[in-house]
Amino acid sequence: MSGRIDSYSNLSELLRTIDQEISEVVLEYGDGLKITSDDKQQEIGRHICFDLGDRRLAVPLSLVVEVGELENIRPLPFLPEWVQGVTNIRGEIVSVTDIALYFNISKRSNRKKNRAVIVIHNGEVKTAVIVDRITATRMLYKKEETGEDEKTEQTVLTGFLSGSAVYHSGEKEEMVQLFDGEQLLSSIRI
Amino acid sequence: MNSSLGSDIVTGFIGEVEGYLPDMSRCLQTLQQDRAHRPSLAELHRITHTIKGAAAMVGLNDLSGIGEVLEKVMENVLEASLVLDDETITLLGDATQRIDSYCMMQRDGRAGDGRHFLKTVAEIEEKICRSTVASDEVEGSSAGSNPETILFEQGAEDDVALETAPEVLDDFFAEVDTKPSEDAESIFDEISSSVSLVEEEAEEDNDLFGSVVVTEQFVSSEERLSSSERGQAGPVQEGAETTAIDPELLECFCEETEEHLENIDNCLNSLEEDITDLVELTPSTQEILHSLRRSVHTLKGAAAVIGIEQIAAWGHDFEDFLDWLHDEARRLDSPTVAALRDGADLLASLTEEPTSPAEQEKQRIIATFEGITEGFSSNSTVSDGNEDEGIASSLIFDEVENTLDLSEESAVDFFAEDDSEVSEKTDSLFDEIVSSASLVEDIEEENDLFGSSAIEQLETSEEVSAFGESGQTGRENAEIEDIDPELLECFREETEEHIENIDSCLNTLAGQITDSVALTPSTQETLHSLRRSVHTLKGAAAVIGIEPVAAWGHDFEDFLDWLHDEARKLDAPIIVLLRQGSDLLAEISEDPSCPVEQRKHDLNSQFKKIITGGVRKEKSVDPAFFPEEEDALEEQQGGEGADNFFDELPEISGADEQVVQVVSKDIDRELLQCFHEEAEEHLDNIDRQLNHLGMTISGETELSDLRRGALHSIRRSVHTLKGAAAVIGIEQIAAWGHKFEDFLDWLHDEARSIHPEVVKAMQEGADILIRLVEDPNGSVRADQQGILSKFTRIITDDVGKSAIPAIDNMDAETVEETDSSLFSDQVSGGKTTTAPVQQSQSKKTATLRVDINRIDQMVGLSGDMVINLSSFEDSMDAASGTMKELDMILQRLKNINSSLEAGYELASIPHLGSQDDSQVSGINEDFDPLEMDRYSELNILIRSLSEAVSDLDSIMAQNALDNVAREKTVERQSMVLKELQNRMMGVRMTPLSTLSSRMHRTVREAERTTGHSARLIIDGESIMMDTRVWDVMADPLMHILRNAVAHGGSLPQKAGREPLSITIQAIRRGGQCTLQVSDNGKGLDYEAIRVKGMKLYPNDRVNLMSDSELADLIFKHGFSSTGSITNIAGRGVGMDVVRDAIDQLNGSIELVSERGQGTEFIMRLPVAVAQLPAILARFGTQIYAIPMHDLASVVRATSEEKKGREYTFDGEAIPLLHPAKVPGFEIGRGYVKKNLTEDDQALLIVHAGRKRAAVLCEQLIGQRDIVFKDLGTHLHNVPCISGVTIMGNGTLIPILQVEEVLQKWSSVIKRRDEGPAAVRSVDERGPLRILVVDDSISVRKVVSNFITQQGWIPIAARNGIEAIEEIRREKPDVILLDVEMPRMNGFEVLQALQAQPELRDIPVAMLTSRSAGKYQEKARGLGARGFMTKPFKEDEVIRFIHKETSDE
Repeated sequence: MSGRIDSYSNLSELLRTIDQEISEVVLEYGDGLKITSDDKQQEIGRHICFDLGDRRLAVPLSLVVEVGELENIRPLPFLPEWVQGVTNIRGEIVSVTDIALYFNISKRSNRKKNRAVIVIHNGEVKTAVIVDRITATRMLYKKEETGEDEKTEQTVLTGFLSGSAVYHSGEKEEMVQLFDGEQLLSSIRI
Repeated sequence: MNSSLGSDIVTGFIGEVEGYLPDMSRCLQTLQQDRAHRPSLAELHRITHTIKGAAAMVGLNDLSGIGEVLEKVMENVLEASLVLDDETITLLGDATQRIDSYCMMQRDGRAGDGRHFLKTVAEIEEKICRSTVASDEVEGSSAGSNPETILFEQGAEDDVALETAPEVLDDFFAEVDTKPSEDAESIFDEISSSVSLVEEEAEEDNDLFGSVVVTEQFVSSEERLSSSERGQAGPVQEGAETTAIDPELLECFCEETEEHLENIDNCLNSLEEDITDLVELTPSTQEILHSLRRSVHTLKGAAAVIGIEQIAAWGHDFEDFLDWLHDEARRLDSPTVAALRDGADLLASLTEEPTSPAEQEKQRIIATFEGITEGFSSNSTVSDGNEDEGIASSLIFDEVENTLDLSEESAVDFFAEDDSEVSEKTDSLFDEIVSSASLVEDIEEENDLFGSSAIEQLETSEEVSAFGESGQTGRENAEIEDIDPELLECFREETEEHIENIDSCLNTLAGQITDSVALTPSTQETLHSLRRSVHTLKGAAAVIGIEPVAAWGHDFEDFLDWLHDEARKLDAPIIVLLRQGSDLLAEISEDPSCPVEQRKHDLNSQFKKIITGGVRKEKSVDPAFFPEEEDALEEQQGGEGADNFFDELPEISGADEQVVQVVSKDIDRELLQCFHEEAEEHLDNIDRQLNHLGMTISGETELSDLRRGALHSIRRSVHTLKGAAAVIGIEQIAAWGHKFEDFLDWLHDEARSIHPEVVKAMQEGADILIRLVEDPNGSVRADQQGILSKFTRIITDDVGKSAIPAIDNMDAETVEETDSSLFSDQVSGGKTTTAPVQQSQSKKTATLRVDINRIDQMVGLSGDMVINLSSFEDSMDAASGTMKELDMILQRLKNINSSLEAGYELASIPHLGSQDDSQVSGINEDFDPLEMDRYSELNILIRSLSEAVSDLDSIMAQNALDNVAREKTVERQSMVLKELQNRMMGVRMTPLSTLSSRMHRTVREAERTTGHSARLIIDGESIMMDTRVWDVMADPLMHILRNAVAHGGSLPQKAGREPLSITIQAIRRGGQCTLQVSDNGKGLDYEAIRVKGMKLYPNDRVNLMSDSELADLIFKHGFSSTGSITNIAGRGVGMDVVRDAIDQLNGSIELVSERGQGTEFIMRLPVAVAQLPAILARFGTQIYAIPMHDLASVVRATSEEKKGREYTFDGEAIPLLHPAKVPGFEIGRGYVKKNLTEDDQALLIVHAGRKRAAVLCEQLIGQRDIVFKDLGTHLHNVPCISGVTIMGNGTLIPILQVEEVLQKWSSVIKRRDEGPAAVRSVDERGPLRILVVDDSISVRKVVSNFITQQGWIPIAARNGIEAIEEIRREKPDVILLDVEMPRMNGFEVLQALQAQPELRDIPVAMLTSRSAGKYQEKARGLGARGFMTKPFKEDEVIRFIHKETSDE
């Protein structure tokens, strides 16, 4: 998995803007993101939105250390399949977790290449989570739980979703599901 | 009254004053025209001030008084509190004239007309009073004070009843003064009875504020009496008194007073501003009052000290009122403030003119005060206190019935001042003690003392302490409570200072006196300062009345006196005692009521002992003069002397204990840490020297210079240690260090020979020192005693020996010195102590202690730099590759260019080309083509190409040059970095010798505890290893050593055995170090281990184990072979600690023990922790690093050898591992097959503990120094992987844990041997356990039956919830799961399992009657591996189970 630049040539660009936004947010709000209330929809802070399989998920920025391209994973023996190995992020050794495998969404064989990683860290455990695509960082608004949410098939992933939220993209409201990174970090502990 | 001064001075002064007068009149004139002419005002102020001061100096009190009054007027004017009107100016002019006439009179030699002057003074004062009050513009105030002013004005003529009484009394006092006879008694009775009457009345008047008012009245009336007495006594006497005062003091006092008066004035001003009406006391006014009170108090105190009784007396009265105001009064109104102002004014005037007859003023103000007090206290009616007072005074003569008791009472009250409560006990005591006759004397004395309040206080407290000493401690406490809090506060502050001083003195002393030395002038001085502090403290305490402090201070001072005057020498124990004494003093001062009798007593007895000891010491030298006496006698005396010497020890340390504990708690932690670090060095040195001595001395040997050098070094270390301990305050160490040093001194200076026993004794002494350093409160006294007696014996032996052959004087002197040096606690310090200290200082190299973590960080950073640099090097390489390619392209371009030039430029010459050209270039026809070049497009292109090529060429050349430069820079950088990294590593390196002292001590301790004798030999002390390695290894090594002595040694009485000898050998080879600890003891007791092992691990077939397997057992947790637990061994935490520590360092340990042939531990450790050399090799597809210390060798093997299961290495058959066959190391499809041949394979011979194995690797990459990194926060325990390292290009290489790989391998082998049924898990032993989850009992039964038939174990669960519980508990190998179940269906169970990583891998097959594809899909989606519909076939299920369990 070395240098590969194809359809995601704009990824670096995107990552750069995201990194910038992270630092801006951190500058502005400190670590705990400021949560202000809106008239109708409650802001729930900035999130990094990503695709995993056919899902659109979002993880709060407060958990995210950095995002980046996936490179130089060194696999280790005797680890569960979903631990891809370790990688070197500026001298720090970080494990790489393939949550698609962890949630049984995709098989190892059919997963796409060139995926991005989101390094999440809750103070204790730090891991790089492989996702299919990072789409944006967005300010999300809480969406009232409506019972009419599509009752998709129950998967392991369902247990790691903490609700859904919306963001505004032009006129439209786009919906994403909130991914509970904390729970992930506590459950992947080995 | 000026008789004491030279008339010429007076004349000079008069001249000076006269010189001022014209200035004054000029100023006054200016002022008459311009009231607000400030320069004139300032000038006047200055002149009056000068006159006041100078007049006071030359003793012209009258003039000084008027100057003062004038000055005050001017001050008031300047402050704008007095309106400067015509009247004032006239008054000032008048005053100026009077001064003039006064000067004339003085010049003429006539006596000063005091009265005349005083009149002026009074006039001006009155004026000021009136103006000030008027300017206040407060009706209430003027209403309150004006009548009084009038009263004052008329005071001279009007004989108000109030005034008469004092006058009458004055008469009496005059009488008392003149004839101190029996009359005095009666008079005093009367006075006191009147006082008591007043008291009673007051009590009746007011219960609420009774005590204060009583005090107030007491004091004021008494005070009044005394002052009126003085008033009567006449100005002559007083003038004499004032002149007797040291002028310098007076000046100081004046300056101080000025400040205070200013403050008082400020306070009053602010009060006046704040308080316009009756208001509650606010904190801010409280504060002002407090400040006021403090100033008055200080002033009073100062006046009393200097001897200006007037001020002291009035200050006292005033303060009382202020006290009341501050503490009791809750409100404040303007009359009160006005009264305060009056009081302050009086104080000020008194200050300026102590002799001025201020009695009336005082009376008046006191009356005002009392009025206010009562007005406040009686709340409603303003009782006419003045009249009460007057009546009381006038009734004096009527009330004569209360005689002795009351007078005593009042006397005591008077003396105690604030001690208004005097217990009955005192009275009765007083009754008993004081007879009537002596009472008279007392009273006479008291009369003398009336003036000075300070002396009063002193006397009082002495009186009081006299009572206290009669055994009434309870009363003392009560007393202390009664002490004026302010005074107490002052005292506290003072005490603090003194105690600080005492402390610093003691520290200095402790620093200077580390040995018993003669008193030098500097120590004398310190002692003196010490004594002074104690003395002052004692005095102050006595004055205040804190008897316990005074008493102990007294005792302490006695001792210090002796020390200062009598003692000629000082030593550390005395300092220790002093310190205890000062501690006690500090404690008592802080809490006078704390029970300290016992400690006081102890310390006192010790003081006495030292005092007597000091005397005895001088005597004890005598017997030593006669060494010719019989040896027996000699020895006996020696012994006795030693007893004297040593028997102090238990007592001192006994008393010490509490103190030391207190003290050691108080010691600054930072200091303590420094001390420990220092101590460690010294202890190391001591140990090294002792070991060296121990090695070289096998019998009785003469002390060569070399050995003396060693002794000297030891002594120096002990000495420094002792000194440091004393400075820090760890007396235990200091004390023992001292004793130890004494012995060493003797050994170094006197002893002629040394034998092993001496060395041993020294080692034991050093051990105690070490133990004390570790825990100063540890109980080592018994050991100390033992060793001290050993010392004594050695000394006496040696003395005996040397005394026998040598009878001449030289030897006699030696012996004498020996005795005195040891027994008298005091060694001739000067020459022995100073020299070594200097020497050691000069030896020290500059060192810096740095936190190891900081070094670690730097090492880490340098490692990262190396990595970064190497990646830069990589990119440099790539760049030069590109450069080469570019160069080739350039060459090609050049070729093309030259061929173009050659081929086409020539061809384009017209006459060689087509004819069209000639037509076009008609212009050029005139010229021959050879004459002039003609250019086509192509020509131009070719030209530009060649230009570009040449440009490129030059750029390339430049670039190549730059590149070379860059490469050189990188090269240099990498060299520097390498060096830096090595240095950084080197910083962390310490030699084995840092541990050796601890090891020696451990062995000695073990020897002592077990009785086994042992000898430790350390080889390779200079081997350097990372500090952390030694840190981690320290404990394990101690364990091994203790075990060696405890298990391997034997009691010396068992004949035929050599003493146990333990050898520690350190060898460094490349990046690894081998530590071998071997002994020649009994070796491992394999049978004991076997028995114990069978008990502890019943499942492990311990009875069949070989010796080496048994040896491994001792590394298990909780294994200890000795039956009983001793200090030394047997806690069961021995060898596992060793194993853990070595694992922690990524090292390995091996134990070799032939039965009965001793044991040998071989530990292999990496030299550096941060960096370790490793071999990189490819196992399967991936590259791994194997630490060098795990590797024994690398060999190439033939393909036949590689195929077998064992490999013969060094004649030993060792298992051959093929990691590619270990799951997790599989060979992937690509790389290996494509790129590597079998020839690349190599065998790594590894060792893990005792085990050795050959590991086949696909490719050897090479050896690198790698930086160890752990696996991050997420992955902690990855089997077989201990960490990773980052290569230069940023790639990660896992570091193999060889031992785990071997374990993994053996499980693989086992699995392969045991067949497919048991393959599933490494840990697995028994048959498969299969969980059957179904709500139908019949289904469960059927399934369970066929599972049982297969030899597996069925586990049943009725529903999902139960299933989850069972899964958690049993961790079944396979789960057969129904879908539809109550409480939790099969899908939910699946989901729950998937959510838990550790359960997810359990294969699940759905057994359900729902056959629809939808269900199947869903189940698969949730991770089910099988889907079987009911009714299912048994074969299908079994096949599924086999498939799932044999996979992987």
